[in-house]
Amino acid sequence: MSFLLGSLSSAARALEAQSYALEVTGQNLANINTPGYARRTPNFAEVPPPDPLTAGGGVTATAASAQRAPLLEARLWHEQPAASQQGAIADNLSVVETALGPAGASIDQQLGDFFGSFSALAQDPTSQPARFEVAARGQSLAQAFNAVNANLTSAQSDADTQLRAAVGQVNVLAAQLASINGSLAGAGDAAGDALRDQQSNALASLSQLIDFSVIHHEDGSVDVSIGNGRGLVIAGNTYALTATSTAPQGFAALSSGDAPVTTEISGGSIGGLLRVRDALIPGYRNSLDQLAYGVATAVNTAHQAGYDLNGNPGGAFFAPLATSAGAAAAIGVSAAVAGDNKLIAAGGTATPGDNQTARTIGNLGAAPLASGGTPLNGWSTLVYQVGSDLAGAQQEQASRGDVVAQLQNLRDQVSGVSMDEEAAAMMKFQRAYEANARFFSAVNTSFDTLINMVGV
Amino acid sequence: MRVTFSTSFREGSTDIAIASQRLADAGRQVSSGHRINAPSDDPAGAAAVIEQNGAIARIDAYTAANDAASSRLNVADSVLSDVINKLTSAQTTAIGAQGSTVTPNQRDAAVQQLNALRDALVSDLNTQFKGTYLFGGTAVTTAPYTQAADGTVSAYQGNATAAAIDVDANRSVPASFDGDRILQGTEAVDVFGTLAALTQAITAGDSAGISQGLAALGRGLDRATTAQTAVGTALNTLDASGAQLSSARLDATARVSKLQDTDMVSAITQMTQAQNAYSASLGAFAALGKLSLMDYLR
Repeated sequence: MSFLLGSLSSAARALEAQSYALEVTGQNLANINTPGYARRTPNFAEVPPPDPLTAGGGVTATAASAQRAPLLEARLWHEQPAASQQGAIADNLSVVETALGPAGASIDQQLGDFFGSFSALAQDPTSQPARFEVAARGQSLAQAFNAVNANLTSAQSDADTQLRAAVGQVNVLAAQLASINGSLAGAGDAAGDALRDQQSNALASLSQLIDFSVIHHEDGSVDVSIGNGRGLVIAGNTYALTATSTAPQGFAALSSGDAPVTTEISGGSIGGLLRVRDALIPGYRNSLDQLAYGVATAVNTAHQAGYDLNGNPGGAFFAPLATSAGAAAAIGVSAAVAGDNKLIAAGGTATPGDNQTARTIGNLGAAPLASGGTPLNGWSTLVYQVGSDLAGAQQEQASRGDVVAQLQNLRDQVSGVSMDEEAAAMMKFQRAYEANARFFSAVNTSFDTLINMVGV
Repeated sequence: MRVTFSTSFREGSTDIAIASQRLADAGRQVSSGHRINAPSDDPAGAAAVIEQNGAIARIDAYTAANDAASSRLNVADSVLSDVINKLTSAQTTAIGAQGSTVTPNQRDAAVQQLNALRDALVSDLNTQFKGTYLFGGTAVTTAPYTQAADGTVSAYQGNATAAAIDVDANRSVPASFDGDRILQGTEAVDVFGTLAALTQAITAGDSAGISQGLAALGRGLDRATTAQTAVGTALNTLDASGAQLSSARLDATARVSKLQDTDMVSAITQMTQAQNAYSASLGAFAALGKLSLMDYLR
């Protein structure tokens, strides 16, 4: 009798265990697309027999375990920032590349047209149309410089805007991680696993924005620090990144508490945006400024050595620029020349038919500037610089992206849900449930037999 | 190795994205005809294209200068031919008026002819090209010679500076001429002074004076011929530099084309390959996505 009763209860436990396992399979399938979810495997433990004459107490389901790959995830959080950094650089430099204007229709063409107009003036130094052309070409060249500079400046501000948004996201994720840390302290196994899924997902999102290091604690909570060990999340507390607009351009400077961290961050999209905003575009603008300054200065020097159509010594053709800083924004044909094209100096002497200065300026297009290299050289170097920076970032993004994808695949090999596996598990637990139910009914029938026997 | 649901979808969609990107790139090379569509496609190539296009622009500017100089020099050439003709006629006329058999009427007629030739020479030397004087040096807005009401010709009003036009990197041709150098040179009086002296000598029947005048005209003729030869040489220079410019342009254009144009045969082959790869990756993804053990469970 006790044997039958024991079997009945162990069959009931087995049914419970198998249906629990089936439930775990259902949970896995339901979360097949949930980011950060680590697949669960049901665990069974045999219930040992109370005495040597009993077969055993059946089975009991213990807590399902989540299949995590902590080393791979750590590796992923380490690699992801480099891929995102290159991605942010590539995205922003594509805009810069467009900002340079189409090849053959940007400053390259304007330079050729401008110096060509002086050569044409040399053929006919008293011609009004030729003088008009020189003034017009000078203005187009200056406007082309102004426009490319404005494009570069706005690409720089775009990077700043994206940076501020990314800092906002970092703070949201930090707050989320801190609250997960708080909840993990008192959570049981099942709730703890769900929280750790969320934690892993939040850290994965954070790794796209910024590079960080993580310290894991016994209870599953994590401390996250950025830059030179600046805490972002410590236990349940968040130390938010702040973005403060800073003169002269009003760009955001990042700080953690009182410590400035702008120069400490290199990875993630924040690192990429900082590099674009603070190093790459300023470099391009500097080259453009130097080119504008070099052209304006060389033309002015030659122009001032000549004589205008009124027989007076030539003035400045371009409004004089004091330094190369800001030259691309400031360059413009001087108001006097723009107002009266007789003031364009074509002659090396005061005689109207002298074309020496126009010839000299016309030939400046092929002559090295004070900074070295012809004006066109200066432009093609800038185009090369942008093109190679962009191509480099794209290649780097692709190769870093491959590493990240490999690591994600490796992580998914451990933690991801396989549909086939779950289908097999479903079948396995369903069959086991059926068999145990059959056993239950066999025991039940045995009871009947016994009771009828007694009753007869 | 466990193949999980997210892995196969991630890899499938990444592979499709890469294949479609390759197809788009190959297609763009074929449809645009350019291998370099943005500097990042080939940074060094893009920079070289800019340099070569700059070289082409310079060649085009020199070619335009060449054409302009050529029309200018052709005008100068025909003016100088006319000057030579006029000086020769003046010589003929003066020779005809020399000798004891010449009647006063014939002398008058010779004087008239010489005056007419003088006027023609003034007009020759005052020839304008595009509204500026060709034979006044760089004083292109001043007539080199003016004539009083009685026909007397002024002294040379221009200067001795000859402007030049660059027609290639290191080649230039004259754009204006020093009229005085042709008509006077190093002599005490210019051709107009000689002609005035000649008319006086003819009127006076001064045979020695006529001979002196004839000799001076001969030297004037030499100078005009020298000037014309110089123009001819400059025109030859233009022909030579024009030919060089057009062959340099062809070279530069070929270099640009080699740098930036698509090699159609290989580009189309690449596009076909990319197309096949794309359709294969789509097919593979669709086929893999369909298979699951779930379908076999009853």
